[in-house]
Amino acid sequence: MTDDLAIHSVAKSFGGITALSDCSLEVRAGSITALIGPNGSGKTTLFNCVTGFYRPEQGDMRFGDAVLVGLRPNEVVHLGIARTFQVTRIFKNMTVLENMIVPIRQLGLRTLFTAGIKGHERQRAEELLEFFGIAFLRDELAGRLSFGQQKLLELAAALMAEPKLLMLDEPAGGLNPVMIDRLTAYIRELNAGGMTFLIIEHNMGFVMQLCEPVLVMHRGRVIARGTPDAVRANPAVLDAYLGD
Amino acid sequence: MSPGLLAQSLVLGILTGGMYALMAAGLTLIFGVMKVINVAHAAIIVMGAYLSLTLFRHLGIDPLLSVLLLIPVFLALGALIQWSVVNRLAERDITLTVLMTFGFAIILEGLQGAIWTSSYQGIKTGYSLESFQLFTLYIPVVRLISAGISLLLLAGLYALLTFTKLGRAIRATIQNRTAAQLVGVDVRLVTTVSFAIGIAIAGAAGPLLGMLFTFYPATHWLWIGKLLAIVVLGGLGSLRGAFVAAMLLGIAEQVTSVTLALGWAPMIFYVFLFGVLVVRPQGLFGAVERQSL
Repeated sequence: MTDDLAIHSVAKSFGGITALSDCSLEVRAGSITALIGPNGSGKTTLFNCVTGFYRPEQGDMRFGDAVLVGLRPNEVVHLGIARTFQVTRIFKNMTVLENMIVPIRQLGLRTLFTAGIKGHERQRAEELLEFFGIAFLRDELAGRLSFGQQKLLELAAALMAEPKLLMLDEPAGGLNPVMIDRLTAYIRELNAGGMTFLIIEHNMGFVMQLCEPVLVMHRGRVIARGTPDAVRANPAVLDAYLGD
Repeated sequence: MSPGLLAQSLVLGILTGGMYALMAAGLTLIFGVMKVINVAHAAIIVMGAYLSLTLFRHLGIDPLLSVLLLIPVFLALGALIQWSVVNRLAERDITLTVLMTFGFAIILEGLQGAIWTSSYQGIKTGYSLESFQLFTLYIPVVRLISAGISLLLLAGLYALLTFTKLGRAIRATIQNRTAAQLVGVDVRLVTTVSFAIGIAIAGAAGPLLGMLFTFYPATHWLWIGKLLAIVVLGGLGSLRGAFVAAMLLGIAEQVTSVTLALGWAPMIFYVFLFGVLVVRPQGLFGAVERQSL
């Protein structure tokens, strides 16, 4: 079975406020799928459910054959799903290279006390830093990097775990046009290598030129799915954004 | 004050500070990883002192050797407490853990009173009163040994945190729990192991405390105030900060006790703590952290 992400009838609420309700969607392996929708439509909550940070109250989530509901975030990572956040989550008091090396395949009792950095880990970290053009910053403290560089570092670190599916939460947010072009090129290249993407993004130019299909969320569920052009022409989508 | 007296009090301060650093290290490690303030930390140290006293009196085991014997015992105890109680509470409401560790401190105090009575105790070995002269300085052997052992254990902890996979995972969890999970760190395992290590260090500090100071079941209330002050001054969760703050407290106590009077020693430290917090609320080496998902 291919590594599709299948979400079926997922619900999640916070003290009476419904964030997700009967939410179903599918992300096909090998696609660059966009998840768009107005603020508060449940996109990030869905990300948090898939990656184990929230536990949905009902519904089913599978990645290939693996059931995701009930898994902890680190277990989801080991299944091959990595993610980034709207606000970068990096280790600001560690160097760029250390940030890359933190990802740990499996931390079992046997491997707890084994020595730090393995040769092949360092080599892969260097390759990824080169790929994203930030290798020259390897010994810099991550907290000193610019916002755009921190985003690239977070993305590079997420790739250390060699994910099959990479979920990006507003990757273009706050980036300048040159950085966005570079990011687009990186995502295309990684996708050509077989990696699947699920991307939350408000930058419509970025979404329309990079992603297909585009899924639209509104009030905790998916209300439209299609090519960028089809979604743009869908009246329900316009209603969701403009208010109904 | 003469230069000789100042040098003498500095040396004694550094030797005492080394042990304070060991006592505070576990407390700050546990806070760093779990955000749990272990109010029972000093009671666990005193428990280590009592166990060492018993091993010495009844089996003739030297307190320095009991440091090694107590480490695995307290490691297991720490893992058990964390896994059975702390973890469950921490996942629901972290503030409950303060109440829980407070209760645990009282239980330990009661247990110690029931077994060893409430009278003052001290571990007096054959070398307890020995000292030697280095130039013009007078060095008590027990203080030198306890500082040496403390530094060795702290160096071991530093090496563990810096050079092993576990250390990387612990440092990552301290800096950003969410990000650590994101890159595949099993924060539950890291949390259990860190808590166990913190308690093991506390247990190891027990025999050293017992050799240097008199103790009784309620002594831990005096110590926990001091240890919390060290941890807060250094910056909650920072081992380097705890080390520097412990040294400052050790030196401040000794220098104040020879220049003013012993009674002034804690006040000088707390005034300094107050001053630092006004300027740097996060402590000397603490990091300001945003907490959100």
